[in-house]
Amino acid sequence: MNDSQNVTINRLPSGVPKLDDILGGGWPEYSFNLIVGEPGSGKTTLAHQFMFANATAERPALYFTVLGEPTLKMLRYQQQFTFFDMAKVNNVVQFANLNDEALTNDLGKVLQAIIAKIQEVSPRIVIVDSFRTLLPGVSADGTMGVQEFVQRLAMHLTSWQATTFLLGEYAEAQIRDNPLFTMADGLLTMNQRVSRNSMVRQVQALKMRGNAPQPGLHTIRISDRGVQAFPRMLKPIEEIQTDVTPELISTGIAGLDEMLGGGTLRGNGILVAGPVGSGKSTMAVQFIAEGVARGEPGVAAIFEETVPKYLDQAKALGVDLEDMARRGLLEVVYVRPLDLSMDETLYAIQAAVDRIGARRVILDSISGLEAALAPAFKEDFLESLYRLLGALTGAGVTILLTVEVTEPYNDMRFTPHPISFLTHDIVLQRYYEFEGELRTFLTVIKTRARSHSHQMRKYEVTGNGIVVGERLSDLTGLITAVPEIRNGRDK
Amino acid sequence: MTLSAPSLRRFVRRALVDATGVASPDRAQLASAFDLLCERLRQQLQPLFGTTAVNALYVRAVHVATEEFSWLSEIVSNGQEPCASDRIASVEALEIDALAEGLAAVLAHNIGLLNAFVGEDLVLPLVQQAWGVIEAPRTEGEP
Repeated sequence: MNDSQNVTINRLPSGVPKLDDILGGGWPEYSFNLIVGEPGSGKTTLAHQFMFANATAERPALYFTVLGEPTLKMLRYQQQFTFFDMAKVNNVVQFANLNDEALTNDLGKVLQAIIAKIQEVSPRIVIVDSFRTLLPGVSADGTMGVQEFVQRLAMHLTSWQATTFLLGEYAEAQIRDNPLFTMADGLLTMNQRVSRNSMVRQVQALKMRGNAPQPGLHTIRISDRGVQAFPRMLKPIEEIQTDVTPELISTGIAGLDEMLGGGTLRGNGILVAGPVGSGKSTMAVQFIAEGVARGEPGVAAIFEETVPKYLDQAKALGVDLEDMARRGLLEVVYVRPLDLSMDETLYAIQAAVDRIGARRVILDSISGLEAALAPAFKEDFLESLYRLLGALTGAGVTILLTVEVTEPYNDMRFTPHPISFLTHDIVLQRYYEFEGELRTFLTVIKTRARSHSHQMRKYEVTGNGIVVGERLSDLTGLITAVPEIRNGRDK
Repeated sequence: MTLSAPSLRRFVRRALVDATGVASPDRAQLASAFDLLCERLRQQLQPLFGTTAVNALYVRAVHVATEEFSWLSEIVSNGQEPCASDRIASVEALEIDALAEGLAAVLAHNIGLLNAFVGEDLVLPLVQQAWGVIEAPRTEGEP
């Protein structure tokens, strides 16, 4: 029997929503951490969020500013964030400026000043901002070198039971070979880059002693609430899967239900593919309205139209989405387009689903979603969509996705992406030419765990929504969009 | 709350006179009180903002106050020797009241600049703590 008692590591919340998930539970108490990144990447803001979230009378915080951003400016701008709590300043949060000591280029003096102030205040949280500005180059003159400085500082801070952060202006390439970074218990990198017209910000927990951080780069955004994190990994899909009772539910379109074999299964993903103007959004609106009518709250995530325009279009079909939203049965998610990350979008949708207990979701359209993504995130599009669909359908939420098809008429592809494997049911809408008119037909390509119609049936988009008609049994060559009439009649 | 310059000026002037310890101070006493308040304020601000920033704000405050009280340029340090008041006591041509008003203007502008940068909620407690005064400046119209 082993009687030894392992030490328990207390973890402090980062103060940044979802960042704790990335860190593996928060910042370990009394750890010595480096937060590094280029100027403007959010280091100071992240450190302030941690400090204001954790500073109490029992756990006072001390924030040293060196030669980076002047304290005057820093306090001016940090006040703009909602987490900044003026009542804590000069109370449980204290700031100390090491500008004078740093200007001497003598790290020994900087260290002495830090130690003196720490002895005076006895903080449990210490932040030194920023670190690279302390580097005087090689200490050939016998003064304390930066490595010795950091090592001594780390030892002092550890012995004083303080959770410590050094903020450093380093590019990621400079980190890997730098022995300084081996001393730290935690190492969080923050990077930002402009990708065409979009700013992409990401964090990575390269090291976190005592924790099991989530690997890889995770998107962050800086808003008036400070840094917000959007972890890349949702829980593995196997963990999310719940037992969903096989139950057919209506799409809200009688003829389509019939073609699908009685409706779709709860927890399915239905892909509606079709060319522009073929009624995909109409089908989506009917799907969500049908759910609301049956007491199933819904989320409409729209990526093409603005919310007012979308609501107007639905109203023209006799569906008052605004009223549904007022009654708490619908939430419309419209995420700021053109610089989205997939993770941010996923969390916005997931949060809306959680808020109203949604049972149905429409993504209208995934073509628009992809267009709204910052270029750097487009390569993760399929993987992220897979995770979103897995997370939602695994929890029993039924999703209808629309996608615009732009392929030539004689090419029977469903979508511009290989996404059909992500969904359970696929409905294809098509135009065809007949008697000098552009008409529409739809067909069901696949369904999960049930048989479906293989018919091509005409449909019309009416003022009451989509009305599915009869099978186009007297036409052949519909896929070419220029069919011929059977029995030898001309086109 | 946004303090108007006049009410901040009145607050500083009261603090200045109080620091002399007499109801009707003479030039030397005013000069000494100015030095005291100026130095205490610096000591309060330097650990937070650093010497460079504190000096820069003081120089700017003197510059702005000099536009109103031109004689300040001759007797108040431009920042090389912050708060030095040796010359103040020797200026006999000035009325005591004008001298007090001018000196109060320097400190009030110094505080006003800080207010503009980081806000009264942060600055005024520092000033009260530095000068050991409980009273806070009042805005116009307040009793």
